Amino acid sequence: MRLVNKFLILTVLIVSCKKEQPEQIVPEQLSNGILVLNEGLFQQNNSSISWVNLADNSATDDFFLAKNDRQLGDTGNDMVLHGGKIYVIVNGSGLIEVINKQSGKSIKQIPMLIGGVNKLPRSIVFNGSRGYITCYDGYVDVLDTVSLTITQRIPVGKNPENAVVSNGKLFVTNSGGLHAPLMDSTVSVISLTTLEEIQRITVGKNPGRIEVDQQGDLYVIARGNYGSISSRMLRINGTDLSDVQQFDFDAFGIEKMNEHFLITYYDFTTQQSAVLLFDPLVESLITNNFISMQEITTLYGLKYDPYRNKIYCLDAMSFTNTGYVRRYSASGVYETSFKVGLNPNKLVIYE
Amino acid sequence: MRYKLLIATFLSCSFIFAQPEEKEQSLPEVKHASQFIRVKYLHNLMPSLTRKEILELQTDDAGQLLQRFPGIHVRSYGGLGGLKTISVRGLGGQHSQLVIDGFTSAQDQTGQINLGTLQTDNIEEVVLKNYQLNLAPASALSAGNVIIMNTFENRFSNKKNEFRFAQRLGSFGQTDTYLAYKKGDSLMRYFVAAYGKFRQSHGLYPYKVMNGNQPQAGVRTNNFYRDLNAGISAGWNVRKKGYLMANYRRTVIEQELPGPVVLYYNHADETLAQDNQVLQLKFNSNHRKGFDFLGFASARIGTMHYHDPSYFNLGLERSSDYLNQGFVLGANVAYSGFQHVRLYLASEQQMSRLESDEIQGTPHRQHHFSVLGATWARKNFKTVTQLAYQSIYEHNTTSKGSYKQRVNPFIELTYQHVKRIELRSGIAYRSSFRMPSFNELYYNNIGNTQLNPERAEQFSLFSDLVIEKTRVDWTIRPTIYFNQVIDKIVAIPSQNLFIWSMQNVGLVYVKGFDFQCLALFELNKNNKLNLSSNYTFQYATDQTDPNSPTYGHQLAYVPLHNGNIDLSYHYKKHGLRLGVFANSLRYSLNENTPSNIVKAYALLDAAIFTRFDYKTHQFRLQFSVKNALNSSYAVIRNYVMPGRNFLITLNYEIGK
Repeated sequence: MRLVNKFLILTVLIVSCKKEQPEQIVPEQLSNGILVLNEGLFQQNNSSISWVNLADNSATDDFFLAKNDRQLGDTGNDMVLHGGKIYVIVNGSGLIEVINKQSGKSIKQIPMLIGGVNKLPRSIVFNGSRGYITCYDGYVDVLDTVSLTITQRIPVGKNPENAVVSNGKLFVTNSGGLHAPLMDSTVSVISLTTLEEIQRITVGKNPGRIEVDQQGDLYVIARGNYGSISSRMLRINGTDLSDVQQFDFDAFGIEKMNEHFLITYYDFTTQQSAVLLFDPLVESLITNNFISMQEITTLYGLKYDPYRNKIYCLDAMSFTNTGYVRRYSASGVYETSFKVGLNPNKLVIYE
Repeated sequence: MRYKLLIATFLSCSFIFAQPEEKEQSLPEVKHASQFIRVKYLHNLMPSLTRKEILELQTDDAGQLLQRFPGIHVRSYGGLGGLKTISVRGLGGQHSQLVIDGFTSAQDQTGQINLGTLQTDNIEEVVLKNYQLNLAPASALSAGNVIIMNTFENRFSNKKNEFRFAQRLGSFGQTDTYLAYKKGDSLMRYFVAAYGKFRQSHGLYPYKVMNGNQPQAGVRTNNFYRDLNAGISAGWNVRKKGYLMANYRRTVIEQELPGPVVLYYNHADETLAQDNQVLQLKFNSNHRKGFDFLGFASARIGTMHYHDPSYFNLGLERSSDYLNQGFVLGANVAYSGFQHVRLYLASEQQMSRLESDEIQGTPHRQHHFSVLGATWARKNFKTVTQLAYQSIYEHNTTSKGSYKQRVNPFIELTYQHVKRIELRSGIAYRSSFRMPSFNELYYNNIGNTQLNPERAEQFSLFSDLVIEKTRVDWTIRPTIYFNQVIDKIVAIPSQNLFIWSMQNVGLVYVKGFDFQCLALFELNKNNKLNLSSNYTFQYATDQTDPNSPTYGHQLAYVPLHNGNIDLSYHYKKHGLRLGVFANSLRYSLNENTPSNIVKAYALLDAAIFTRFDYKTHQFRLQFSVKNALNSSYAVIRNYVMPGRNFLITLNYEIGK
């Protein structure tokens, strides 16, 4: 048997002959860099976190694995810093991975299951000591950030996607994406005092990203039906929630840059990306070509770095290739790129 | 243009000439099964497996059998009943045509057969044909590759009564029972047969996967499988003018779908139920005034029901139903009245239809195949030239009808030298294409009605060397090939990351080499040793866009190396078999990065068997250990395969 074992080991060695991956260096304490959440692909267990060291412009593509000796899981959808901890929403694995901001080590995995079935968490926002997690099963879960436990479930619309806190309320976009073509088209308003839904606002079909400006107005992306109904941005008046206005330019994502919004768009048909600059104060576009997309194959996310006054564009390439974080100046001039993981979608920026 | 029309008109007629020197696959077989027990590889010019080898391998399904062939890579998603498809020399499974008892088995819903649902107890032989073909359906003559299987129930026999029984008991709740009865007569004037096969397994096998650097153990869940195959067949030898055969079979499958292993989340509850029925008729007449004739017809109906009781945990149940119908009519004629030239003409019309709430509209397809070929043989040289014409008319209730046509050539030149050493060497070129499946065209959100057929060009240089000596026979079979795939059909995101759609992109080059070495050592009267080894090298690279990060990279799930070595020792009626099967690392995506690596593996199977006869009764008992060293492995990323498992098989047959 020993001989057979040796033969098989030799066979595997021969057939698996491949260069070893170079060992990657990860810092003990994190600073002056960026954590990048790479979504991976559904059911491939290949979601990962990369670390970009801005001191030497290097990137470590399997940071979470190196720090924790295990993988992040399947389909990382959101990553947010709050109170010294980083909360990563791992949708396919049905959990929230809570990570120490300084060390990058896991503090806790919070399971997001009900009756053993995945709640399908999508995104998280915070207000004080509570986190609010949109779950595709039609609820917003309330997280106590001290005990790191889920304390309550709030029923909302179909497939809640994104949320934002404003004026003592939580605004949740109900996409209904898993009910296509019968998608939802509402925003749920939840009182943060009673933790109950108090209103639903009808916006456009398939609402996704939601953001709030300095005046308390809400901006929602209604992604349409990926066909005859285009993806558009809408504004909900912060004082009169029934006042909804639609803008007539293509939009898919919204990110804040100081008092302005950076509006992102990727056309899956023409495979063209765009970044637009929008002024919510006067409620109009400043430019529809703020950043030249020459370096970008597929714009999959964007984040403004207030510490360095830079813009980071996340390039998913062809979705099945290694992605890039591409850095631009605040005026939209390309500077450099960092090779990260598969489908980078969220960043946490360190001073 | 006139020339093209002439060819098209000529090819569209329904007469065929074929190669009379090569016996049609389903000719009345006079050999009794036991005669296959002694394997002689001489003159067998194609890779094949005989019943004896199939019995020793004790595979659960046809997919496991085919991974013992050079040039074939089987993609397996699990154990018993798990989806298994093949790739032959870097070409996707839809380029291969499976011919069972002379009938093609393709269906247009997916374009390929799940080999995991094909049982092997009744298979007499399996042959892989890349080059010249016998009198076969025009769709098989036109295909990139052909796999031929012949079954016990559809062969004439000179025995009055034959009965076969097999019982298997295995790990993970596996129970298989096979029963077959065939009645014939000594003059082979007729036969009638009936058979049934039942398979079941709970499939709850333990597994181990690496989570980063940590081993993680688990047990596969939601993996129950049960199927029942049953059929009847009959053949009538029409006063030596030819023979008529008919068969009907039905397969009912119930299975749970375990899905991939998802880290930190172990839940699956989807199920799939299928019910497929097929009725086939064939008439064959040989060597009448230089003509051979084959006529055939088949009809099939299949239903599929998919159920997800907790669809994305939305409090919704999700069910999908599919109704698949098809009808085939074909004829072949071969003429061998000339001295060195034989002509063959084949024509086939396939009609298929799919109905489902998951599909846009109700697609219908009429696929016509016509093949005109000629064989010229003189002294040691032989050439086969063939033109295959195909026209496809597709109509859907939601879109306008479309029409496509194409002519594909095939040419093969061989040199054969037969003395003490038998040598056959040749060169072949084949052009073929595969139509997009109904799913690829019309599946809700995913389908793309603008898809073009995926084309393949195959060039090969091959050789067969047979050396027969007193105590050892050798067969050595090397092949070098270069294939290219144009307009490859792949899924890419089209509307957002969650909605992927089928697109024609890309150019793929497959440069490869495969090698088969077979040997039969007759040590003495009672001691024999069989060696069967295969090695396949496939360098299948993406050549689509030089600026793409995957340009020049090995295609996803195509191993650079794979192969097997099987050694069986026979002492009188007893034997021992050891088999090693290995696959090199593969990539789960086309980008060849370390994070996409699916690890290499090697498996050891072992078996002991014995046979004992009592008058005309034959008993055979085998004990098999599969994956004896309990390797943890996956062919497809996160679809873990069973570890060490055991199987006891009892075969009984009587024939008189």
